Amino acid sequence: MTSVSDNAPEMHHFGAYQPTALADTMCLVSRRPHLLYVAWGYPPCRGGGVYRALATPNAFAAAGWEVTVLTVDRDTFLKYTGTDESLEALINPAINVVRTPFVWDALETDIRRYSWLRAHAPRVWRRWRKYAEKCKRFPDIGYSGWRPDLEAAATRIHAEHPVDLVVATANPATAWMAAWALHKSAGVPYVLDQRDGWTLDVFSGQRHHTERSRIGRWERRLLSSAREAWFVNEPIRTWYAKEYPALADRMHVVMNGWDADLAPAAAAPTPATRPLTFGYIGTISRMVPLGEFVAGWERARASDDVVAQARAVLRGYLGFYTTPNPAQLQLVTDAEKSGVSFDGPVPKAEIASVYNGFDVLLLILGSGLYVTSGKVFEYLATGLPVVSVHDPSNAATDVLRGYPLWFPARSLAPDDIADALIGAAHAALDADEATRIAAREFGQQYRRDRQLDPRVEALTISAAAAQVPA
Amino acid sequence: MKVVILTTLRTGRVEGLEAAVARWVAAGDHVALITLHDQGLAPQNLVELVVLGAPSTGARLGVIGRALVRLYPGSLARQLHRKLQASKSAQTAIKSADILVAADTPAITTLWKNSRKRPDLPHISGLAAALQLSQG
Repeated sequence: MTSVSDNAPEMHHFGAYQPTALADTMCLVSRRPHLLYVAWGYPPCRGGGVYRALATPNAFAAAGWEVTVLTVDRDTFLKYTGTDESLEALINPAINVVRTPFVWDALETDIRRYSWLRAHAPRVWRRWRKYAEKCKRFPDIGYSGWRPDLEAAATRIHAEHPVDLVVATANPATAWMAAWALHKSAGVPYVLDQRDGWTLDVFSGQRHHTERSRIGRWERRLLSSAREAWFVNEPIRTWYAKEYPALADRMHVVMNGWDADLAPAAAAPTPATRPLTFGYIGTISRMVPLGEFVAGWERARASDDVVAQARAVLRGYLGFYTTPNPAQLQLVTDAEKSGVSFDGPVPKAEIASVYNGFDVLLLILGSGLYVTSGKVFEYLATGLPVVSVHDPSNAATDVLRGYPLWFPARSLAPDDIADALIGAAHAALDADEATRIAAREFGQQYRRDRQLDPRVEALTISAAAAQVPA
Repeated sequence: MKVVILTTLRTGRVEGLEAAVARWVAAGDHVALITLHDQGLAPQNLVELVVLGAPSTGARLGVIGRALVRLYPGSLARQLHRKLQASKSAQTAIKSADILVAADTPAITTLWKNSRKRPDLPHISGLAAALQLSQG
């Protein structure tokens, strides 16, 4: 850890996070604390988790920290995940971004780059690759090859400019190894942003990996030494608190929330006009019950005039990678016959204008007690009617409960989805002004800065206290 | 742009083929399909279809027959490669291609061999990846 200089210190304040009670302590701080933030998915990556990775270091920078972000080369995103270059403009200019190489051979589709073994015996190649990954010291298949470059970069950053705190965010869990390396070598405290958790399967609610597995042992080791562990919702935090009761006091919920500078403006509290547009924005993965939605949509169109005249627009990527998932591609192509159009992804910077074209929002999610999804918060920022097409036990239900314009499907049966769609369509046309205003106000509690503020403040205070001489 | 798709599968069994061809044709691209089987299930909007002929599978020959077929005429990939070399129309299609696409695993092996001769030409595994490359 850093110490106070013997020379006359240059005084620094900590932005909005300087608490009055610690004013004297803060005056003794010789330099701004240095945060190393480690994330694989960072702009221009277009993945769903990138907004949290964008917002967290920005929040620390705004609170007066010097921030270095450690991530992978831009090429990784250009080749494999797709990019949203508009997000790079939202990185706080004071943040120093360090990028390391990353090779993702499993996703390579250029046959010219294949080895002889991969081209002639792909099964043998896959087994060999899996075995080689297992032999590595960290059990994170597909990503553990990043570890040497990551640790070397973190060590170099710390040597050049001592780090006071590391915040490392999954996925992938390999990102945590930078934090672990600095903690082991220099005692730097770290925060594990677990998000969904590593050993918990958020869809089934079961353990992915036993406590005695390599992943189980690594998780315990990493959590035991962490200053804090963050999770995206309370059900996940509760699950972890039960699994690791001795560590429960350092586990916190940092919900995703919506970003004030990216989210759509709340809709005017006026009725929509026919024909309505139902909209979905998000990644269409295989977990999204799109087939069920289309069946419900067709049922609603057959029984209600308003929905019959309406159209549904799907925006987003088909799957998590640059290459669209063929099954999802076929599904959306088939859905076009039912008045459902797939209009491709939306750059985040243009998202507000896309939301402006929607009258009703479709929250189509995979099932699971622990699944929240980031888009639920953005939806709430709009104040528009929201149709939930997901299992009622989904964690998103807890977020939406009490939202005045929420229309949850009772189940994924076509009739139940149709009822919800019809209810939302009529609310878009007929809801009174007071209800619409209440919906807009409801969403304010889920701004992302309100989720991050308490943790940034607590960590800022502890970093300042660590610089005060005993 | 000319897109040439190579597969050993029956045309109706190539996942996402119809949707991919529709998107290429809509973008004004010329799409050719080279396959071992034609069951009349090829997408209607294909500009060119080259059928190389069914492979020897040894399925009716039992365990010994299947083992012999592996030696001669060889694996599906080897048979595809040989048939491709012997077909003038397939060679013409491949030589005029702007992008070559393998739609299954044996086709990857064949295109990998071709890529040694034509390293300048994109040789892509999977229809979706090829769509992504050609249409952005």
